Amino acid sequence: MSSLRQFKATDLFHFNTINLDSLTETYNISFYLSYLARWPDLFSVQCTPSETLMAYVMGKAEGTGTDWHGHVTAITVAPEYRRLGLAEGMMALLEKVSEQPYDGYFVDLFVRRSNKVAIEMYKRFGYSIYRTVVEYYSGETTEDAFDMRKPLKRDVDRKSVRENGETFLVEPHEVVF
Amino acid sequence: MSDLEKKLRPIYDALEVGNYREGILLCTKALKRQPDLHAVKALKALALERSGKMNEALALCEEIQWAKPTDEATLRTLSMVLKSAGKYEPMIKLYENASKAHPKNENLATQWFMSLARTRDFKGQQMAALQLHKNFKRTNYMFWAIMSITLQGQNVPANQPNVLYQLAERMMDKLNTEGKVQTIEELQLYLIILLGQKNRHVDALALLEGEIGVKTKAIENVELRHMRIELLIKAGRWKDARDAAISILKDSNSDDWRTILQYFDTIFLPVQDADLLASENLAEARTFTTELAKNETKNPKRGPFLAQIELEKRAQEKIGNNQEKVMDLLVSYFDIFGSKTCCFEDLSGYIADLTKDGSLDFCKRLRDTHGEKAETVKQICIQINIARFEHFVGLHTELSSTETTNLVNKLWKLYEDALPFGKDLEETERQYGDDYAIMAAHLLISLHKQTKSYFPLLTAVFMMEHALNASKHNYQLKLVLIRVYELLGAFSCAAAIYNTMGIKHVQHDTMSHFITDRAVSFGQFNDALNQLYGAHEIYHSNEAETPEMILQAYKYSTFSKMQEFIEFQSRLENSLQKMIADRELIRLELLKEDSVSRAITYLKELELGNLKYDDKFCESRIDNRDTSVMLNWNAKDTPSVEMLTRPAAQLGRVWMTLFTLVPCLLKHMAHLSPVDAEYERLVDTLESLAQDEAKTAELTGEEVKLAKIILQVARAYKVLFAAITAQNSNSASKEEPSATAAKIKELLTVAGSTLKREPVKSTGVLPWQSLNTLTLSVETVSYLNVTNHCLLELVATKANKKATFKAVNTVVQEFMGQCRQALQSVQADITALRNIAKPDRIRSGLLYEISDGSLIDFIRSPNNQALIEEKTLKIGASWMNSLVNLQQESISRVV
Ligand SMILES: CC(C)(COP(=O)(O)OP(=O)(O)OC[C@H]1O[C@@H](n2cnc3c(N)ncnc32)[C@H](O)[C@@H]1OP(=O)(O)O)[C@@H](O)C(=O)NCCC(=O)NCCS
Repeated sequence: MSSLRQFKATDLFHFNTINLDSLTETYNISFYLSYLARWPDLFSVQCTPSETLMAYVMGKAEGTGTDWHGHVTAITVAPEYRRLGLAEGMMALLEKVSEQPYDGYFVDLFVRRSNKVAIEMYKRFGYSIYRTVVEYYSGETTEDAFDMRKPLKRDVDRKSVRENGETFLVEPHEVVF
Repeated sequence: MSDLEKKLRPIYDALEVGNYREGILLCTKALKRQPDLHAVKALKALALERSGKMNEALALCEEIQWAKPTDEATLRTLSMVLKSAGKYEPMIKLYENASKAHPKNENLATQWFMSLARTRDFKGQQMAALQLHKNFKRTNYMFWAIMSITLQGQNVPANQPNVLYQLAERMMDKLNTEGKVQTIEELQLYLIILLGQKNRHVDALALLEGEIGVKTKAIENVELRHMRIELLIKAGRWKDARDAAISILKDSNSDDWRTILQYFDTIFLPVQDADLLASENLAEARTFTTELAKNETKNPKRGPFLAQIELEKRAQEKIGNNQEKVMDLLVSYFDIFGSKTCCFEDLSGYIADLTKDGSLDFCKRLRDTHGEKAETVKQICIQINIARFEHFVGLHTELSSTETTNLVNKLWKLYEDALPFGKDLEETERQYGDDYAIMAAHLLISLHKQTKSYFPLLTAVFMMEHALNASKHNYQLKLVLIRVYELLGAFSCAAAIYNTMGIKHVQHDTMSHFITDRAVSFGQFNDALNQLYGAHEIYHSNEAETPEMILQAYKYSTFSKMQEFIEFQSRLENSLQKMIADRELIRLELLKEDSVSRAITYLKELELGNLKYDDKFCESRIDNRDTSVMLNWNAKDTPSVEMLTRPAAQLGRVWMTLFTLVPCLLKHMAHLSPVDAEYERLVDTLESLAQDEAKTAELTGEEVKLAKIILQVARAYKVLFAAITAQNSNSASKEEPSATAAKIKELLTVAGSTLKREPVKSTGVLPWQSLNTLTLSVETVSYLNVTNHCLLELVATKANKKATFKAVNTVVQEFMGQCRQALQSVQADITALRNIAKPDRIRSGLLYEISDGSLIDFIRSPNNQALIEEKTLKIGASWMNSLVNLQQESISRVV
């Protein structure tokens, strides 16, 4: 019982239940609005019947040629609403939109190597590690990211799936589209 | 490289590496040789702006503006400088002029459009877009024009013919017949136009289901799919609507509540309530929702089960005799989802609709099934949910103090028992039993309300701080702490917690009220100022960033977001919190000026432009404050925990008006300005505010007194000003100077007696209320110091024969004596109160009282003594901060 709909700019006034959680970063206005201005259909939110925001996902479409794909920039679920399948629902929608209208070859995302919960979850959703981005996350402590991908229909040759992708190392500057 | 480029290169280089001094030097040199080089001048302005010399930069900009340059480089640089100063208007004319001078330059024309869009000049945008379309023939410019027309039309009341929408529609129609409406966003713009007009849903539906709808695969877009069903319902095409909803719920998202509600619309709307029982619809819906629920086998989604409850609840409302079914469904919902935190939120609305007995029965059935078993994490979660419901149905209210204490002890024990289950949790996660601790705090807060004792609040602080050690990031614990610390008058402690919450950007608008509301009252003026200025950044970001985002939406033709972005911008621009913060900042800035002359200088320089207070202005402020984020399990229609923990009535329009009138009146007097219509209006508004009980209910007692006192002196100023004017002109209406003095004396006597107050009682703690009393006394006198000075100045500088008004001077001086006395009482109070805040006194006094005979197990446990002492001393240190500061403030104000 959650309404899965597109994120609205004015939802930013109501996302505290989600963003006050320490794992979720709050960015400036431009960050959210620039996604909305360009990929309104890749930014979705789940809310309760009384319109409390429970979770959101923001994504973009990028790349050229067979690299053209949907990218998950952030996905987060408020602590109270975890393990209800909300992430699953939002990912399914993002994948669907990446397929139609964007017609991408795959969907990808970066996840901290240490975020076991998320990695396992993505695996369950059909993602696999494509490559390791060395020290992708900087800050107090640096950390590697896994670039995880899931092929869409258009990737008939399943080029976005790679055996042992974990051992395929790249530098952060190599993953900019 | 052209000549000009050669000249500019080194300047660009200097600016790029941030060497603005070098940049300025290079520009000055180049300008010496060729003074009319606008591109260089603009770069100099930019370098000046970047090095913080905004005024010089703007002066240079103005020079350039006069010359009306038309080259892109100059204009681009100029616009950067002006933008950072928040000045968007001048660029409009410049770009318009430039694009007329170079009609073939598409970029200039686009910039002209964009400069209009930045200022939301929709009509101007329309012109520019049409010009763009005429010159460059791209269809998207036509859509820009249509969007601009639509934006102009959006404020026309729904029941009036909307010529702008009609125009937009005609233009859309034309493009459509030419086959030029091709994307989903263009289709959405079309739909906005149609649905913005009365009774056009059938046309909108036709569009959505017609050729463009098919071509753009509109039905696969989440929003348009939803819109289509909405329109089908409006059109009474029940079967189509129902089929569409069914297919979503069955095939793609059984959890989608919006669609479930639409499905119910197709069930209930076509049938009269009386016919419902016999209708096929109800039976069909029962079969369908049951089937949906049946399909949820592994990892069930909540939607279908709640749909069943919703259905039977509506049936109960419409035909009755269905309570039992609802109850059974509620209980079986709990059986499935009882371990999920959201179970409470999912069901509480339905529980609130039950009879009192029904809701008690619900809780009893949960208890009967689950007992008090808490051997696994899942069972703990179930137990907490039962406790939430028990709290919600009233089992925790109307308890005696002893009963409440026992319950607090019990909840705390449950909290502690749950801790071992979470020993392996990540630091970022919450302990499973945190909500037990929070519930204990809620009960303690109610106990404080009931008994007025501050010990329950102190206990709540200790418990929450303790729980925070095990769940470092649980913001719910932090929110309770912030509020309780505030009630306890411990601003430093509240601020320390608030500062760990990572509140940023747009959250400054929605969350900062937790720390800035009446922050003045704590007497820690600098810290309060820092919080307010920090939060204020969001409003500058809104000015700087949001217009650019609106331009992005044009760039990518994302028409569906345009109104939303504009609404977002306007909600921040017109934010009630912003207006409150603006006024609180003035209060604090004025309070910082402890000498009368500096206060007067501050007032004289104060810009009144934004200090509006008329009804229309007040009513059009938008309240973005988030008050629902705090956990609350209190019964429906009873005050929430957020309300119960407010130190005083929520800040609102009345408060905003009061703290607009005060500085406006003071400024008027500081200038010794004549009593004009504006002054009369200020006084009248203050008068009606101070005398209206419905209004003063939104203020604290001290604020009401402040209003009354300022009203009296504002009247005195008026009397004196009139008397002096009459004397000077020797007018027939002039009165005896003694009569003037008597009138003023009467007014000031009332002010003086309002100023008098009882000493602040020392009860071992220094709650918000006490600090507020002291601070408001100091604040009031600092205003009176100004007004007294102005009254004397009025005589000294405006009266032709000063001696005539000697009696007035005496009256004012007497009143100044009363002001001094008020400050002395503050000092006397503080001297007494400082005792209770001293560490050794806290150790021997407050700490002893806290534990002496306490019935709270937590307090009695030896394990917690160190924490209790540490936190109590911190609270004491915060009190001391406030008192020391207030002491200084009151001493320095004795005149
Ligand atoms: C990761 C996160 C998005 C998952 O959201 P969610 O809505 O709880 O996930 P779902 O309910 O859709 O779970 C789908 C599946 O993922 C797995 N999963 C999710 N959370 C899990 C957890 N804490 N432990 C184990 N498995 C988990 C399970 O297999 C789950 O299916 P199941 O519940 O049927 O067993 C959420 O925990 C979150 O917001 N975390 C913080 C932010 C974050 O880490 N984002 C990811 C950055 S890339």
